[in-house]
Amino acid sequence: VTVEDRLRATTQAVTDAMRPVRPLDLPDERPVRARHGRRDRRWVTWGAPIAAAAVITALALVLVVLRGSPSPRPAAPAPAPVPPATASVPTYYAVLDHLSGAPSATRGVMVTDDRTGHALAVIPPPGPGQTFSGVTAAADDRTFVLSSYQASKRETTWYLLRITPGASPVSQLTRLPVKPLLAQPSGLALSPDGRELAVMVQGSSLQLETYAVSSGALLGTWDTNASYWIPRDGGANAFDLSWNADNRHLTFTFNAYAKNSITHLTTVRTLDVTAPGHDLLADSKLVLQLPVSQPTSAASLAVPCFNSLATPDGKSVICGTYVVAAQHPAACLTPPPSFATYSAVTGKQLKLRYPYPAWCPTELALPLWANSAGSQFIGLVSFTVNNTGPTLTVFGVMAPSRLTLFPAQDSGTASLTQAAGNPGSIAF
Amino acid sequence: VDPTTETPVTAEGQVTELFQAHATGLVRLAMLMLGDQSSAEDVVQEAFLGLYRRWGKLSDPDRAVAYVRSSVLNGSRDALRRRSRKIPAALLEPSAASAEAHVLLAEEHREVLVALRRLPGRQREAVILRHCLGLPEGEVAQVMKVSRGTVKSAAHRGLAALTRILEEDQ
Repeated sequence: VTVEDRLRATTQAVTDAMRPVRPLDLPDERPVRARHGRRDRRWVTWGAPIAAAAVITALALVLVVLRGSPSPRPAAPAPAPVPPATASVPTYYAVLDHLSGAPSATRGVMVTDDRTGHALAVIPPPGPGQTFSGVTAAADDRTFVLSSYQASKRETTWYLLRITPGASPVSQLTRLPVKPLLAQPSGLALSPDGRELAVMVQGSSLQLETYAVSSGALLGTWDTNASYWIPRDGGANAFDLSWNADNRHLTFTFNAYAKNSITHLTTVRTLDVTAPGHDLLADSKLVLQLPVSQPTSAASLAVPCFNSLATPDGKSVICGTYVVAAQHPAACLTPPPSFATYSAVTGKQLKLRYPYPAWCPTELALPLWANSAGSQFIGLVSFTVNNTGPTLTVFGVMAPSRLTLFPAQDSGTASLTQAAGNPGSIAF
Repeated sequence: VDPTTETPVTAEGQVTELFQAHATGLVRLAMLMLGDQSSAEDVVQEAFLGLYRRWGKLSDPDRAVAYVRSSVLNGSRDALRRRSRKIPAALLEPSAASAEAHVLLAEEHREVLVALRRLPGRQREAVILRHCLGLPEGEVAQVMKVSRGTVKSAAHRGLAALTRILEEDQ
């Protein structure tokens, strides 16, 4: 085998390992002017003032009616019957969603009722040239924080989304006073009480910052210059940032290089944001350490903790696997995509959950929400049946012995599949 | 105006079309240079953004692919420079040479990628463009903005060095 042969084989292997390239994100700084005919221009000259007057009149009427009504919140509709397995999980989630008619790179947010699959609200980006890039949720099932990215300014701004099912309007979007970020975040997490926002940024160093949601005040900063890498294709929560239920501890994934070895390690760490110190690694505690990848056969690799979620009680970590079988589809039989729970005290695996019995070239499991001890959690599994077939997504509540699927969701398989590769694009 | 659809041909439409046709190949080029898909995609996005901004000034839009390929190469060089400032040189080899690729690729391919990263910049670029992507010498010269003779000698020396590195590692 010549070196040229090896180069060609490696190039082919790199090509095979590539995931679909994300779409082109062009800014709106050079809008292409559409040609208007004479008829269009005539309409603009007399139609626009009339339309503006009609809008103002309608607005005035609405304000008069609202002021006179005793309560702006009509009664909530009768709830749909809830399967026992989903009774204690959050009802609403927000997912980034492509808006029909918008440029391919523009994402709005769809808030959906997981039990019915019906969309409660669809929120477009707050301004032209902006796209929602990430979402995180508080524990009240009603409050979300969204990051909105404007490519032309390379700037991320922050928005609070509150939903009120049954009211009109059902959702309210408010810009937060948190300072704009001149980058895209690599981690975002809203505390369970909705008071603090944690943001991870990859700059000259890896930085973690916490902000007060109400005032935008910077509450804490931590950083590290240690080398790290991200196994997935970036995303708004590439570091699996999440808060414990105490609103005090933040958990995140840090993929490190092992000393004196080419082996890489996935580490999960917990940081007490009330403790002194500003060093992201020295001041945080290691709770789990796993090898990044384990060869499962000649033709496949498994990443045992590709996505992680700390349980709210801080005692365990739920890991979702990522299995890649590059050459032989049967290789994917072992191991199947799964979730595993590890002790945050001993680092030992406690339970293997939901091994999905399918063969597939690529499979990915993402834990999205867990109850306090992690006995019940919401997960998403995405896999392809063969090299050319569509990606299938399984989405529901995982309990020790069974999986209860959510019904078909208005957000559609495409958004959920995309969320499987970008944990920051969906939040419960 | 596109004669088949009678819709106006816009810069956005043309650049997007070029992106759809060439993005995968260009990301592969950047991946071979940088080692991970995320950084590679950033570089390719930047290159197409630059193309979009300059679209009205391009004297020959048919040469847009060559322009954007040069931009990807330049962007990869910049990313490597930034990375080398950020990460101590000792850590760059061999373990930090690649991120995603290390997870996904078999050992023999990882060795090749690590060995590529150890070549001097010009030799590495010549080897990747000429032997990994199979571009003709003339196109490689155009992308690297050097003469064909330089491409020939850089690719030759690069291959020899690569052979030596791979043999040493065994």
